[in-house]
Order: sequence, then C-alpha cells, then structure tokens
Amino acid sequence: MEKTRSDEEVDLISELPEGVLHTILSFLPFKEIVQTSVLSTRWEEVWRTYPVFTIDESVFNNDLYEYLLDNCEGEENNGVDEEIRRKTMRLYQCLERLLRNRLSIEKFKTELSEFLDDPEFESFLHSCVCYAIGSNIKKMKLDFAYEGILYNLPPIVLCSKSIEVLKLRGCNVELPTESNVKLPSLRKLHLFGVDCKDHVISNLFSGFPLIEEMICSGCEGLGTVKLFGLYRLNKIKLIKNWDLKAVYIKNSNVSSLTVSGSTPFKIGVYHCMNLRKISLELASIKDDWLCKTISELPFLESLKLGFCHELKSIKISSSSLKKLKMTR
Amino acid sequence: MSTPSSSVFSYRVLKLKSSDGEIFEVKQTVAVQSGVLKQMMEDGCTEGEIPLNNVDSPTLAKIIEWCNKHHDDDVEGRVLSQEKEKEKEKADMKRWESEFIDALNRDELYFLLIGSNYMNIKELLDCAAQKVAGMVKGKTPEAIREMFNIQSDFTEEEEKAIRKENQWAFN
Repeated sequence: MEKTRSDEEVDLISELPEGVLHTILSFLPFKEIVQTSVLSTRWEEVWRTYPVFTIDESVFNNDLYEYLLDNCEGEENNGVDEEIRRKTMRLYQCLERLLRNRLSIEKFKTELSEFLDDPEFESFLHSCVCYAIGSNIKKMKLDFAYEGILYNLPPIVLCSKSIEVLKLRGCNVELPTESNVKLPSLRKLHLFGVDCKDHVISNLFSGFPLIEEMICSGCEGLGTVKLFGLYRLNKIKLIKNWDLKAVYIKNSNVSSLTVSGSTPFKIGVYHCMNLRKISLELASIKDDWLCKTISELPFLESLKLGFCHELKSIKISSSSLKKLKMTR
Repeated sequence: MSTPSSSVFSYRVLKLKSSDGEIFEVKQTVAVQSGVLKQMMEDGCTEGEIPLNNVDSPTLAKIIEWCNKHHDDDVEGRVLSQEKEKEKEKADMKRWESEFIDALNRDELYFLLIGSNYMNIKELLDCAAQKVAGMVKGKTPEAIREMFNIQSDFTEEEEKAIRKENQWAFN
C-alpha cells in the first residue's frame, strides 16, 4: 500500500464513525479487540460500546487451548495439571466478569474448533450463555466446528423473548422442562450438526411465529418437519439431515425451498403460493404430485430435481418457470 | 453489463451527485446494492439528482465500480450453473475484490469506508473493514498506534489501570 502524505501526519482511522470501527473490530480475534481499548480514549469508548462478546481461541493465551483439548477428555490422561487449572479458572472468572460488566451486548458467540469437554469450561460457558440470555441479547451463535463432542445447550435459550438470530453448530438441544419452546422474536435459525429428538423438533418448530429463514444441515433426530402457518417464513434449507423422513409445509409465504435427503423422504407443499425456487434431492415424489404441485405455484421460477427416482414421465406446464434442472 | 433480455426497469437510471458536484448515472438494478438508495427507490423519491454529501467523486467512482462488478456477476441464469463453475466464479470474485481493495492507498480506503457506510453497502464496507483489520491483526497496541499515528491521551496510570482490568488480554 502506498503511503500518502496524510499517512505521516493525521490519525484518520480514529475519526471513523463508531459503527465503522465496530465493523473493523468484528474481523479481529477477541483478545485483539480488547487490546484496542488501550490505544486512546476514543478507542476505549469504541470498545466500551462494542456490542459483541466472543469466546474464541484467542482468549486462551498461547497454547492453552491446545493443551486443554489434549488433556480434558479421557481418563487415561493425568488430566490438566494444577497450575494450568488455576490459570484457566482465573481466565474464566476474568471473562465472566468482563461479560457482566459490558454495557450492552447484542450478540454472544463462541468460535471454537471444538467444545472443551471439561466440567469447568462447560460450567463457565453455561453461565455466560445464561447471562447473555438474561440480558436480552438479539443474536447468539454457538459454533463448535468439530461436531464430535456436543455442547448441551442450556434449555433457557429456547425461551428467550429477545433472540432474533440463533445459530448453533455442534450442540445438543433439549427441551426446557415444564415449558414449551418460546422464541417470539426469532427470525433466523441455523442448525448445523445439532442433535435433537423428534419431539424437540416438533415443539421447536411451533415456537417461533416470526421465523423468516431456517437452515438445518447435518442434524440428527430431525425426522418429520412440519412447518404450518409460519407466514413470514421465506427461506427453508434442509440438507444432509440423516434421519429426515418427511417435510410438510403449509400456509407459508416461503419463496425458496431446498431439501436434500440422505435417504428418500416424503414431501408435501400446500398453499405456498409464493414459492419461486424449489430444489429437491432424493425426494420420494411421483409424476402426478409434481404436475399438481407445479400447477399450484404461479410464481415458480426455478426447479431443480436430483435423484428423485420415482419420477417416470413428467409433464410440466408453467408460465413462470425459467430454469429447470434434473439429475438422476 | 446487463443483458438486453432483462426488464426495461433495469435501464432506469439514478443520478447521483457527489459532494464535489459531479453527476454519476447508475442503473437502478445496480444502485439497489446500496441500502440507502434502495430505500429511496421503494419510497419513490429518486427523481432528479440525489445528493451524496459525504462521498466525493473519486470515492463514488470506486463505489460504483464495485457495485457494477457485483451486479454483473449476479445475473440470473447462473442460478443453475454447475457447482464447479460457481466455485470458480466465487474465487475469481474474491480475487477481484482483494485486488480492488489492495490498490487503494490509505486515504482512499478511509473515504471508501466512510462512503460505503454512508450509502449502506454492507459487502463493500465489510471488505474494506476487513482490509483494515488485516493491517491491525497481530500487532501490539504500540505498533498499531505507530502505524495509524494514534496519539494516546491516557496518563500512564490510566493505561496501567486498563491493562490491569483485562490482564489476560495483555499477556
């Protein structure tokens, strides 16, 4: 990058609007975000109003995270040595205090390669998640890239009045006891590699009236998906969910529907006039189903069908359809 | 450029006026990438010149170059192109984006951040912000101060107190 004269003299970056500086910070590891608070009073203020709290690998100094990963699991190891344990406990305390002292948190997230299978980490995370829910955050993303060891999501998350975006990867979802799922503000739900039972799913899918976008991928326990009367639902994507058996969508404004099974699954689409894009893989559909469904979709523009082996000879009549792709 | 088959609508243009008075004509279908212009179109108030008081002409030219590029590569009809092609297109676009951003000097980058924020073009703002983050990443606070000429206005005690408060982050 060229240096211009003003580089030498003026501090332009500190003059940027707060929102722009927050966007810049959002691309840094959390530890480095905290470090910017020491640059100047301007930056301290920018940090003070930064609305995101992240637990990522950077908060574990040096090789602590790797060390913990190697030593947490399995009894054959001697476990984490005492000094390290004290150190991590202090770290968890500091982070928790930091979270509790934040002025306004809109988003809480974890970005870790793996869930640390360690009771102390679990209890630390649990406490952070519950605190975040209690302070009415809008977005939560719990991302554990390796889905081998699942984090047990505190059920209270499923009763958050404020949450608008919920993204989970590598978590186990259980229902709250003595309460149904209530996510009255939820607009976006992404589940990747999440375990949940069938009854959890049916309860879950009836608990978010304002949902707009739903993506489930690689989830276990997702058997029958019924999405009825979700008027704001716009985009549905269900891919590689091992247990998927059936998908029923009724009375919805959905415009994009993508379902890809790992074994053939049933599908029913009723009164979804607004559908523009359909992509189905391994759907168990017959010729007349396709013909009838298409005839009920006045805006359908794109239709993609892959490995729908029960289709023999199909007749498609649509004035809106622009793209058609079929693979066997 | 947009294909002739796209609707007449796409040929409607907006007249954008930069802070230094230059007029830029932009197709509506391109301008829609700006949250602010999109809102104005929805409200039906895009007649005449639209003054952009926070964006000078070199910056606006850059912003329009970005939007044209991203519009072109989003033409329908690619929806069903092969996965491989899609990936290649994505990679090409990424390369174009980083070349676009890397070619800017620091002042230009600064004005682009201001402009994309003002016009609410999220992808461009993210791309430019990511560039700055890349410059900051891995550097000590002292090195960051030096790079951007940030003057610390903390007393020694104040700075010590901040470091102590989040000691874990300054180890």
